[in-house]
Amino acid sequence: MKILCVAEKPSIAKEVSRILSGGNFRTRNSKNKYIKNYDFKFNFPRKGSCDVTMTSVVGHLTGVDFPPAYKWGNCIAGKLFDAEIVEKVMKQDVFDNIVNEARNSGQLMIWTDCDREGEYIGYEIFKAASKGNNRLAIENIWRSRFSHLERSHIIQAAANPVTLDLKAINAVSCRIELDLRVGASFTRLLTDALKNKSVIDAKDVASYGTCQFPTLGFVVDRYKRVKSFTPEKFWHIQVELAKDGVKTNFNWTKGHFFDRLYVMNLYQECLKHKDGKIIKLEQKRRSNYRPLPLTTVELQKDCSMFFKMSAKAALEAAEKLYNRGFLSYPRTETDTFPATFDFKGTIERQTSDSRWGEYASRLLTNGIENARSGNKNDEAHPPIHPVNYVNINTLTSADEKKVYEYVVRRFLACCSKDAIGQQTSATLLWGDETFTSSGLMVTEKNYLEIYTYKKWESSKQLPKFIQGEVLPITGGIIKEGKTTAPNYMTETELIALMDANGIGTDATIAEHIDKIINRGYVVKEKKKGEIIVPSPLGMGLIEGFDGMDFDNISLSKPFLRKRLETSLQQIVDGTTTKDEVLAELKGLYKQAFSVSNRNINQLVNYCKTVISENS
Amino acid sequence: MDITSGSSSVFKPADYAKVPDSKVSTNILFNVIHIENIAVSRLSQLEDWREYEDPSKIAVDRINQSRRIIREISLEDDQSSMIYQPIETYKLLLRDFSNNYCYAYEKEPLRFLRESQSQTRTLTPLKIQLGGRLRVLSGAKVINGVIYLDNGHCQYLGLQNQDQDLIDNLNTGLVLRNIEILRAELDS
Repeated sequence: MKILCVAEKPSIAKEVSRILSGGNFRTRNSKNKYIKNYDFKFNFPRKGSCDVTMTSVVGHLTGVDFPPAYKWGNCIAGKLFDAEIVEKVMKQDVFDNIVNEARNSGQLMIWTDCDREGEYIGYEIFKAASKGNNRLAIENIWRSRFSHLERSHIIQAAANPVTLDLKAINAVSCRIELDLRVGASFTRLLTDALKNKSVIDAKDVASYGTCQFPTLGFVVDRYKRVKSFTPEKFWHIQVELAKDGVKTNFNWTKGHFFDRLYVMNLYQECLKHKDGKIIKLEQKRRSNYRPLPLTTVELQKDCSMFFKMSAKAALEAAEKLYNRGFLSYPRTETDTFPATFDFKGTIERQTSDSRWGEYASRLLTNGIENARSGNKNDEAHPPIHPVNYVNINTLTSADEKKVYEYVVRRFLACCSKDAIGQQTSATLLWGDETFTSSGLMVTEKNYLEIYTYKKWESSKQLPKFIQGEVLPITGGIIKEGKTTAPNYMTETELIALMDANGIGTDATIAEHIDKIINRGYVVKEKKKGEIIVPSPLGMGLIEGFDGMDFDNISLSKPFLRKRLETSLQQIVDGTTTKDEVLAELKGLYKQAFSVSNRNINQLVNYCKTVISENS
Repeated sequence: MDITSGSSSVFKPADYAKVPDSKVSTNILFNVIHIENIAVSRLSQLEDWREYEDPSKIAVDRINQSRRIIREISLEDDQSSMIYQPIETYKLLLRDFSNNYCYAYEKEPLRFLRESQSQTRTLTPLKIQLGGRLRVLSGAKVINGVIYLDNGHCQYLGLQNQDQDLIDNLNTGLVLRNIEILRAELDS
């Protein structure tokens, strides 16, 4: 029997072929220069020894669009909410290769990435294959579940296929349809209106996306807050005590207040007392916890913070490392390792490295700590971790070097002990008010030895106070401070905000940020590090939409997209259907479109005003 | 020092203004005219009130808190940095029944400003509806003409029917009024 295996990317097809064939495979070209067909034999437990052809697609095979009657200029944009949708083949040569290879195959096995999008691409592959071979039935398709390219894991995945998840396929199909209808209708409305008034050039497109605009909204919101910031004074009491020749500052446990009279009066009460009393002394063991297992969002946030690497660049580097078998699948929301995870084997593979090998060996000798468990689990992939060892000097890309080293160090840190410190705190009573001071001594660095990106240092030590001791107050003053403006948005913070508000997924956050940069809605600027600020057009678009009187929804805020993401998950869980979600969300966006259409001139005027004010 | 000037139910701040430290000598009944959290900046208060300004966009957020936008995220490691959390502390503008106004601060967290009471619960950033009655008890501390309240020296009596006009006046249009006041204070 011949089995046709199809991966999502050429590099995965090649690597899986190499593993399953034991290196004994024959390569045939396809009409697409990137796609090869690999022929070999493999013994599948369910079918015995089989001829295998392994090939791949390059992402989605098909897309959706409107028929010619609904092309731009042929109909009003609002019609797109109810227009017919047609499927079109996006990569004909890739599609044809699947059709041809399926002709003589008795079984189709899908090797796409194990996430929702991968499930849908698997469905697209099935449709192409069934065009060449109508004996293939969807319920009989094998779907391999794998998250990295380590040999035993791949052989295990080949031996234990599951079926395609039709609910996940429906969820993606729902998202694709909504993105098309909403994106195309609003994009045409915005572009036409802005072009008519020469706000954008004739060749430009002002795109709208259900993730793009909330993403832009965060940037605009922050920019406006920075620009409109007014500093305010606040006051607090600070006390100084001297003992053994050491001066120690104590901070008011109440914090600070924006009301001078309140602080003045309490200070006045304190001044009636010359002395203060140490009422509490505490020695506490402080733990500085080792990091949680690594998710995509954390990877992107950290790469942005530590290496000033964009989210897109970090994910691209991680994907390239995954495609070559060095890292596990880098699109994951899971921050808990499965109970069966092979920590020992994974660490062993890192012991030869000149930078972290010695630490890895020590971990194996001294005992591996159980990794902490987070509360996220996408049930598809484990946290990002190193799979096979690579000497980073042999990697040509600087980003790949940094990402690989970071993933290894993070993984080793996960398996290490927490850092430990001793904190001494003293509480002082002066009049009726209490003040505290503390000193920290880091006693065991543990995971911080390998996780060099993070610092935790000892602070100044307290003098040897005695509980109940009365000491003269050597300095008690009212201190005045001023509030400072929030920082401009950084990419790190934007990623975190998108994640926290449900905008995009681990896999798409980087794309949305990239999109609003490419559309010219925001720009990156160097200002004490890299910041993201809105362009005048970006500001105008958000202010224009915010100025419209929608019925309890907002096109610039994250609520509606978050609702869609939640609904998609419900489709996957089987608690709702694609039709129900489409009906609800399409209705809401349609209503918003109608309001936008009525007020589009107002939005254009906002844009013109902001642009002229900034030119 | 105790001050026992004037009527037993009257509080004239001027009588206390030049006395650095004293106590209220008798029980005095007040209406709560305004309250403000002095531990947060006016800008933060303004942002909070603005969320109520446009009910078509914000009302649902208040019904379902999970729909509120997360605006800022600390990127510092939560365990190694001390994030300043203001301890809410309220300043009250009080009026006695002889029309004298005075300020009172919390000396300790007052329960009536924190416990949810159905009668006075609000859908605004304020913890209670304005206009309720507060009895300040004899012995409450006064510093430079300002009362410092603790739970042992005050009783919150809630909204009373007799004060309905005042209650309506104070609570109607409260959102916009507060926004205007805070904005003016910030601009000054």
